[in-house]
Amino acid sequence: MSIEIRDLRKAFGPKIVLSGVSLEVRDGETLAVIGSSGVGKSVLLKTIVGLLTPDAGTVVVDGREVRTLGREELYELRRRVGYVFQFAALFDSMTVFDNVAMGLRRMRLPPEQVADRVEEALDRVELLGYGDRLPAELSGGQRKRVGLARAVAFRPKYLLYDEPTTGLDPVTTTVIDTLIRKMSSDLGVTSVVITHDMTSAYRVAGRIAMLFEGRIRFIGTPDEIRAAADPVVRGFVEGRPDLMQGVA
Amino acid sequence: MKRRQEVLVGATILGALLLGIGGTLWLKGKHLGTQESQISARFREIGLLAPGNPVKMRGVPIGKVESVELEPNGDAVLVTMSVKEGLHFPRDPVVLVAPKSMFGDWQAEVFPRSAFPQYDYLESPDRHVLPGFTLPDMSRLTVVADQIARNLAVLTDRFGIAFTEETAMNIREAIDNIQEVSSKLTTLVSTQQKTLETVGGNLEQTSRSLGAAASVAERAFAQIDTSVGHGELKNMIGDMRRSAARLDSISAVLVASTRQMKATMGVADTAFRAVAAVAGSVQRGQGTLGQLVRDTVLYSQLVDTNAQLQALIRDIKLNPKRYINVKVF
Amino acid sequence: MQRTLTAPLAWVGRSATDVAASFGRFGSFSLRVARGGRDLGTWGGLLATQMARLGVQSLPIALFVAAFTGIVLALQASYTFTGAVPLYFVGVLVQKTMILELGPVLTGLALAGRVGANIAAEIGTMKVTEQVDALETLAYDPFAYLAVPRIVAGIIMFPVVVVFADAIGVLGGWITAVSLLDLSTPEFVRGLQLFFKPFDVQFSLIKAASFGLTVTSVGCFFGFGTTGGAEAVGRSTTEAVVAGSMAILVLDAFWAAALLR
Ligand SMILES: Nc1ncnc2c1ncn2[C@@H]1O[C@H](COP(=O)(O)OP(=O)(O)O)[C@@H](O)[C@H]1O
Ligand SMILES: [Mg+2]
Repeated sequence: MSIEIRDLRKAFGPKIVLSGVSLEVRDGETLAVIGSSGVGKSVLLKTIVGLLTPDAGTVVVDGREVRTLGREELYELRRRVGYVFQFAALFDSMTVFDNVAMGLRRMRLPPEQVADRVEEALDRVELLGYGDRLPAELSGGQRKRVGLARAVAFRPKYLLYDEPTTGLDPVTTTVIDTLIRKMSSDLGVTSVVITHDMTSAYRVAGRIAMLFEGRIRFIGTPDEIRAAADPVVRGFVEGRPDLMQGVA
Repeated sequence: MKRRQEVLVGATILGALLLGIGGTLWLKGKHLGTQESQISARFREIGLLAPGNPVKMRGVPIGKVESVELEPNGDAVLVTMSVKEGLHFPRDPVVLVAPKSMFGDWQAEVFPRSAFPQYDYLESPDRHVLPGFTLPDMSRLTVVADQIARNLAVLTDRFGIAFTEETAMNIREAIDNIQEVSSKLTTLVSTQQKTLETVGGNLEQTSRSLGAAASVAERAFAQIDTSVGHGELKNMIGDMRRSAARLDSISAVLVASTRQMKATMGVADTAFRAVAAVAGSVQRGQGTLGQLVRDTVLYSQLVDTNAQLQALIRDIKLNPKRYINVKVF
Repeated sequence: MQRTLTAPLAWVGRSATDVAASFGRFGSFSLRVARGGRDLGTWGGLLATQMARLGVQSLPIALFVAAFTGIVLALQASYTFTGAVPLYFVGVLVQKTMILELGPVLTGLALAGRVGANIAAEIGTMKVTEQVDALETLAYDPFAYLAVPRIVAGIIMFPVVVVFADAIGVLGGWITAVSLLDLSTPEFVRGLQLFFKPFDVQFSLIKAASFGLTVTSVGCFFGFGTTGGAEAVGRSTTEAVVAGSMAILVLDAFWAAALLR
């Protein structure tokens, strides 16, 4: 079982963002989705967990089409899919502990078990002992790690990362990339990592898909993408907008 | 933290609850701990009396009007009042309803019937329901004054032939004065000015003119006695009775509202005594007029009205304070 | 040429569509809040916090407004009533105006500023920083978690605040009447009690509860409707205050027409 996206279309008013995306995420793999800013990467990720409803096309997770799920089924699905937000989206008014515990409390786990699971999750992101801090007291990298801890506290089957390294310094970027790989190997999760940072993509991904003008322009292993002839792909990978010019 | 918030919220809500309920009871004029009992009275109509208006006895507030309800057949109004428990009411108590000021606040007051025997209280078959009467308010008073003026005009027209020039002039003057009083009253009500003293003065003048008119009328009666036919006499006496009845109610309220009440009443007294004298001579059966109307209902009503009026005047002279309750300000 | 002619028509059409769309959005918002209301497990535990924030913490501003309103009412009444009207009518005016109208309305307006803005800004910020989405991914219904406890707290706490405001307003008028005007306490109290009906208090509280519902709902609605960045949060906040205040005045007229015969 895995995630299958077929002919997905989404527009906001007159603005067409996705115009027929088809993509399959294989069990256990880490798939990176790359593309320029504003191309619709986040929109794609949000439709997977039902935060956005597509105009057309289907998203099937573990054999169930997301759009047809009732509220309770959708919540049940979301417990299997951890979502790491671009700017962590921590709840400002709560401590790190409470942030990580939020989802667990919702499952009505007994308090000791919640504490254990929060501990475990904070341990995974190497933030043990930060439970009492408020988000405002953390650095950008630490916040992202708390966001990750919150997502893995459910012990999910899938992890979706929205630009986990954007805005971080190279050292912190490496720390986060290492964490992503660790999650994948320790927990055996299937991951989708959105990024526009090629170094990160090469480091974490088994396969890389490129989103361009509403569709998947290219999909393949890091080696394949390095060897791609498509000027659009080469332009993005090599950071040369002149190559991408005038091609569609 | 959370616990402190809960305590704070709880305390606030409890405080609001106490304040809301306590405040409402206090504003309603109910004081926790005082015992109350209910009384009711029956009226033909109640003017602008409304729930919440004060109930008094000897001028002292003793309770509130609780409800006013039209009786099912629509003939009477039942007013329920809550009053302090354990109060001793006078013997044969009645309830008088009257305006307290011109701003829509009315009151009900408990009196012994003997204080105002002249009013036509509405009795109730139920022993526990007190008889009640509602005094007319200012605006209705002007209407009555107007009617009196019109009736007097009719009278003078009728008597035009029989009366001497002097009588006619006196009556005219009385009409003018009453009309002036009436228009003054109208202005008073609409402008809400304190012109009551002027009104009082006018009333005095009116009464004096009426007195003069009446004494002339006495002489005139003697003339009419011999000179007027039977049918017309009946009409004349009917008109007089009506006028006297109206004067009864206008005097009761108007007079009470002036400071020169005593003086005014003195003059009014003479005026009505004069009328009484005429009636008295009629009663003794002197002349054709006396023969004719003796023992008729009309006649006895005229005498009654006059007697009540004089009793009222005496009472007002003796106890002016009691009437000052019906004050304008 | 043709464009200038059709422009006003187009504007009218567009405005009408916009208004209809807003009502539609508010309708679906209300539905989601109603659905969230059934999820007591989610919002029940958050209620006390919101009641403290929206209610207890609003007391100072509400009481401040009410006290000064009471003072002004007493002074203005005595100024207006010179001569013809007995002075104890100052008490009547203070009681009636404070409890029937100014207590609930001025408190409502003050809280539309404080509470409505606060809610719109808070939820708006959560929306643009994806915290609302984060709630969803943690299997929370954001409407049950954010909107319902605030709205319920508003419905309960506005009347509570208004009771205090009414009382302080009357007290302010009283103190003014006794200390600045030629009025004795018994006279003022007589005026207070003269035309008082218990329904006055009920009316005040009904209004307050409806204002609480409106101000918090409008705050949540604009908060949830925020898209974009910090600037959008500012816009939502302003809109929430403006719409909340207007709704209060419209509701006020509605209640007067519906309940004051
Ligand atoms: N809720 C929304 N309403 C309107 N437009 C949106 C919304 N979400 C995203 N968009 C638009 O869709 C486009 C793609 O956005 P996004 O997926 O965030 O890009 P990125 O690839 O950088 O993650 C952007 O132009 C953005 O303005
Ligand atoms: Mg994005």
